[in-house]
Amino acid sequence: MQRGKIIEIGQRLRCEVNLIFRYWQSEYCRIFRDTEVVLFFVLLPLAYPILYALIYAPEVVTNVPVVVVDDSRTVLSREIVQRFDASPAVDVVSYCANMGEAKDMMMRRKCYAVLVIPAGVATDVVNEKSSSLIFYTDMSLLLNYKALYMALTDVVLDMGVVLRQAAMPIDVSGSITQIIERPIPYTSEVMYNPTSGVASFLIPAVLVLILQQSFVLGIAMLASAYHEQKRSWFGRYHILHRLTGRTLCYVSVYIFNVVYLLHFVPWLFGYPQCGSVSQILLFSLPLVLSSIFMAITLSVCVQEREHTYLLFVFTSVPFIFLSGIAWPRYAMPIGWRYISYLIPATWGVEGFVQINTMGATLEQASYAYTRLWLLTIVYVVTAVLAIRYDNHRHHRIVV
Amino acid sequence: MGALWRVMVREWRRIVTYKVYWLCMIGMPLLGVFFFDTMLYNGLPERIPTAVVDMDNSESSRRFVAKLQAQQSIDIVLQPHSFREARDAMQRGIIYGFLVIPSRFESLALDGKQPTITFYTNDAYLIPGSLLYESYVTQSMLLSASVVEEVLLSLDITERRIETLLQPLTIDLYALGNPWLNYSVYLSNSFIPTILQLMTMLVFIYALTGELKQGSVRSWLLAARGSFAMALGGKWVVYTTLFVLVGVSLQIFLYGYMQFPLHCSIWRMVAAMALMVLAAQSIVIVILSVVPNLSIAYSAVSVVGVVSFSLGGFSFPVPNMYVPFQFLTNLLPVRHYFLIYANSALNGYPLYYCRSEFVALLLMIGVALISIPRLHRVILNYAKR
Repeated sequence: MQRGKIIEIGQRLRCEVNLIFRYWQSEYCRIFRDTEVVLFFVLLPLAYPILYALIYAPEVVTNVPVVVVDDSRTVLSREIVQRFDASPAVDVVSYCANMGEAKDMMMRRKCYAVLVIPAGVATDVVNEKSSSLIFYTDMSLLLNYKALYMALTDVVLDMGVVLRQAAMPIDVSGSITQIIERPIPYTSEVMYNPTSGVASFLIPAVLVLILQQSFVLGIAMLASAYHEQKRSWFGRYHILHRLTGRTLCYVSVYIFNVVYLLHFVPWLFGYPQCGSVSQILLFSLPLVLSSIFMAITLSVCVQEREHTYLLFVFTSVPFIFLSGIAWPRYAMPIGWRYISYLIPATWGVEGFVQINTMGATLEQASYAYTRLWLLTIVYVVTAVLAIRYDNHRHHRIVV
Repeated sequence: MGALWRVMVREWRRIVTYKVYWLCMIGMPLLGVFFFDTMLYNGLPERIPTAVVDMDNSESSRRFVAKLQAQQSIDIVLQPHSFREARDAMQRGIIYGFLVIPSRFESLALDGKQPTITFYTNDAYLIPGSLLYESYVTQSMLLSASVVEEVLLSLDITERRIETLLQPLTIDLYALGNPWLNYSVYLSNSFIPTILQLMTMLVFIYALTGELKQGSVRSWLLAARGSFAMALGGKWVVYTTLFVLVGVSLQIFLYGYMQFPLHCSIWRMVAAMALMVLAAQSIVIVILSVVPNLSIAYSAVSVVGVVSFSLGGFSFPVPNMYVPFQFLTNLLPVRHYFLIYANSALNGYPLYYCRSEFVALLLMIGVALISIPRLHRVILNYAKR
């Protein structure tokens, strides 16, 4: 009696697994028969990282053109200009006779900023007056402004020390002069992105976003194909068979993509890569799963192939901002912060940057990791509901 | 003229019946504006979480920490006991940087032995990392200055003289157009037009190819009495009008409500907006007439639209990009719009200095006009299939 029951359960199970495998297999056909889906699942994750990495490959801003209006024409003013020009960020392209000439250069985009050295700069300090360098800068690009301003600040600090020494009363002893030269020096260590490069900070986030968006776009395209053909290709499959089959299919297709995006690309372009590979792969599992289920949920909105482009291409822009890579999440308005919690890429970016870029362990990134698993659970539920709703709608149309 | 009008009326009816048009033409650009202007409301991220490792724990080191805490840009959330603890907090994402005050800091400083303060900033998050670095530098400069002041006072030097000696050379900064160093000004003025460009392109290609899909090419051409130029023109006029209206409303919002710098006539920006919309649609026409199938055309349009956010050179400057990319940026309408904005609205230069951008946008439209006959053939080919 009992033996018979076990055999029965075993057979049921075999049947169920069989169905899942059959559906898994059929999903491959649907993916690889559809050029656009292949485009999203294969070409997009392959090509986009390379494109973005190349755009940002120079990493830092160098040789921003600047012109100088030197009204002082002294050894000191030349020294200031020389030191400023020596900074990698700056390229002093020309001396101008007056502001008019400098302004013309600026309007023609020949230079990005103007440094004016006033006439009294060399003598002021002896006359117990401090003097100011006047710096006009274009503000259309903050990176340029930052690079220039930091370089100029360094020059001014160094020259300040020189001037202070020169202006000290003669009777002051050498040791005191030395103390006041730099009483409390500082050193600065830039961590996890030693060159302060744009690509090294932005691309890891972009990689995670590409992973998520390729699911969103590809799965939406598959859903639209289903809608347009108005053909029931699921027959006797239960929702759970379909969901499991699809998930297995996508995960298997994405094993390559995950390794490529999260390991190969950072290696290829020499981005900071301090984490353990196995932990990154372990971390990527809930990222992939939650992205798949979110994509299945969102794909209900799509009824025509073209809607995929119209509705979802745009979302990459808010998603990358919500991830907090550019604008830190703690500084966001509370509403947007809550919305960002719902997007797998937010936690994916946070955890991936922690593990890959900052060399954290999975334990240290556990906050993001558990959030991804929570999102996976939430989106499994919504995905099941979405598929059911879709079936219902589909039946109505057929009837 | 009647033909053109009929196509326009027909197009309007199509727009009214499809919800997705409204979502893409009005919903998404509005969402973009709302998103950026609420997200970056502060202009700069303030109170960046940070930590101080005070290994000295003396009166002067505590005073320094208190001064640091008083800064608007910094929030000391932790006071770990070792470098290791601080780094752990950084790796956990609790802080964006920390500062280490060495042991015997006070006594070394009093002896003139120059104890060194070390900052660690996390540039994996570049914006908070670099802002934090700036705040640290400012504070440690002030700290040094206070020591110098004390030494000089003990030397019987007059206060006025001390003031000069503390800061013999300073910078008078004129950050033209954006003296608040506001991120919102700079992101809204570049990213919002780019969103509009993306949606303009996607909606236009959808409007053109939708006829193929619904098998209504014949009725479309019939409405234009068989003239393809009229058929295309009718659609073009409708979508240009709608998108220019949306674009101008966005400009009114940015320059009027948000009070972002507008140092030129609003009409120049309106003209730039209109030309950008037309040029974006021109790109769609050119892509459709050269690309062999529709899915590639859609992908190409999406790529151009999305890559514009990076290739537009709003964050990373174009002259620093690799040379081939520098050429490619010229093909993006929003790049020219951005340069016109920077020269006109932000900096208030005369029209003469952005003539080449206007010409570039006009050229794009010109190329589209030339490729109309080819587009006609392509559309008829698709319709046959």
